[in-house]
Amino acid sequence: MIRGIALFLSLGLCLLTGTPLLSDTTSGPCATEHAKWSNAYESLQTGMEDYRQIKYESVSPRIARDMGTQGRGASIARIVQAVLKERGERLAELGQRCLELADLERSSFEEWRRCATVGAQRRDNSSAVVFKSIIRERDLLMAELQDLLLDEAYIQYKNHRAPAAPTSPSYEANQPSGVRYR
Amino acid sequence: MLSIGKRLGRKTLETGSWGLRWVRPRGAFLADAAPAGDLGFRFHCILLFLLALAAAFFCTSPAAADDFDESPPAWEFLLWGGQPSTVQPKETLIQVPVVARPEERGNGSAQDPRDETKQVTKDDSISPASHEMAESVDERLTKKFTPLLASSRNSSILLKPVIELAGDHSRAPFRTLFLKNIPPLYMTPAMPGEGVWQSGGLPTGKDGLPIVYTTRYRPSVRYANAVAHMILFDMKQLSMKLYIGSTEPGGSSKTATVEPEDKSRLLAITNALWKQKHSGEGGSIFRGTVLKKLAPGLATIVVYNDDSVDILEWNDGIPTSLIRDARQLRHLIVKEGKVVDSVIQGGRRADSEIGLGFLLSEEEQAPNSYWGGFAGLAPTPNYGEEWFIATRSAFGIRKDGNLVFAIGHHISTKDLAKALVLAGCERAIHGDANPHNVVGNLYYGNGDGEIVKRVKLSPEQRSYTLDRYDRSYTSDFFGFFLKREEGEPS
Repeated sequence: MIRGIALFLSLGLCLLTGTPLLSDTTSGPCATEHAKWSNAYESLQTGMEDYRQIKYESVSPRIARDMGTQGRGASIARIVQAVLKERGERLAELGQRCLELADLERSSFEEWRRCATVGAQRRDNSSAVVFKSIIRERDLLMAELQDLLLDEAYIQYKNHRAPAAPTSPSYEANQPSGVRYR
Repeated sequence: MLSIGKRLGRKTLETGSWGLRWVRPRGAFLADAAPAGDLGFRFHCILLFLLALAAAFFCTSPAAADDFDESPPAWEFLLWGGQPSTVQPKETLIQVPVVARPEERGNGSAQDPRDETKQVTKDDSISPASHEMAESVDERLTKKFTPLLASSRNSSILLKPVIELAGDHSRAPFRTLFLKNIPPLYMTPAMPGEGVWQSGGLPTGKDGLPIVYTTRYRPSVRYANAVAHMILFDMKQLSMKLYIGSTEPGGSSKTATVEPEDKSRLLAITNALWKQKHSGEGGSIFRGTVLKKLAPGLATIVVYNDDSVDILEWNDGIPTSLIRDARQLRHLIVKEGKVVDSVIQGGRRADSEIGLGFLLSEEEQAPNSYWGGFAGLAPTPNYGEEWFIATRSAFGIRKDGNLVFAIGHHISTKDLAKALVLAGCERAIHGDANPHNVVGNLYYGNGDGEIVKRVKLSPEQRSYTLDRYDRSYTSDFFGFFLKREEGEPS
């Protein structure tokens, strides 16, 4: 609530004073960094879209096609498994690409922020407010990415609590998997 | 003695430190008893006696147990949550997990067959605690019973040709099946035929060639007494059918009975998966009818219309019209030929072990009385340090499309999964669990539909399970049948 009010006031101040948002970042000394981040962000979104497309694309037509072409030559199990395997490999490849793009996006964002912060310190903190909203957007995107990349097999455990204590000797207190971000 | 003074007819309920008992009031004699009251008392006694008889019958009868197969497995308390190493009698120290000599582990040369699958889990390491335990056991028993891991120094047995390893076991002619024997993990105590696929004495096809192969194997470094009994079904010769238990959703005595026309081809019956109500989102398909929608991502055992079988993570794009039978349970325990070591739960990596807990559900804690405790006393835990050790089963699928069924007693999910990996399985699913439900029956027929011999896959399997499927049964199960020859009427 307070944040919202602060954001509203800051934006209002920006409008009143005629200060363009991110004037120090989208143009001027940090323009290159901003463009780099912007590209990385868009690439990540595109990568996620590609992943999403394969993930939610039905394998049914492919199975039907292979059943038609392979006929009695192969068992249904083998045909289905081949289609699933191909899909799995494609998803693994695209998932890896998404992770790489997320890393790239993170590093380019950090660069841009560093540059903008140095510039902003000389004048006002309006860019900090804008960065906050951008960070929020990025957080949403990363959460979406984490959901997207979650192995379908474990969606069933999404709302489960992980064991409170490692009770099995084979338990490894691993770090959370998935997207490494921030 | 304190009389609580509750008058019931001519008798008083009194209580003492040892419990409650019926007593006669002072001065009352048999002759004084009013006939009607005495009759009532006798009637109560007879009623109590009959009730006791009925209770005894239902507790001891296997048939009755079948009907109440969710009763607390009190007879297996140790396996479900106890700590065997602290409560077992000394005579059974052979079961204490003492598995390695430090120098053998230290040089890293132990011939662990799991190296083939590159599976290294923390489970496989020898903890300092187990060494302390090893040192504290009686020296004589230790020398006599300590199982030794196969090592490079003692690996001569591993280097022998398979045929020599197998002795008389694997000389049965093979079809196109390629079976690789599993090098034993333990040198001593020796287990004859360990890891060797054999078909001698097992049911054969009409041409006399093998159609099933069995072996047993100790997969666990930590628990030497964990034995996986495995059977490999040649699915080119066999067909598989799911039967829905009579008390399961969509089940009836018809869905839970082997059809009379199939009995002459019946070769084996195994348990299926957990009961539907314990299977979470897991769905099922029975003879082409969807009883409960299959959930994407869940481990699924599926029988297609062409008799081919698979174990996979379900994908909604697979046309259900291709499927004859399917059932789902949790996650794959073997994936891409490797044991699944961890799963993602609530966004964090968690142990993949499947605990059984209260009524097979890890989410529910047992009430105090469940394990024989009494209300008001401290809760009896149903999880112990060894909570993942249980009697369980699993199904694995090999690259060649053949199915392997494994039963393990006192075994973890991952060790059973490891045995399936060593049996060549690419993917595997957890099966039913607990000693009452785990079944691997082999049937020998006389060709006229009459079963003349029944054999258990595991000697530890409950004997009453052998004829359990002669009639309808309450839980799901799988039947394995000789395929009909072309032209043979169905």
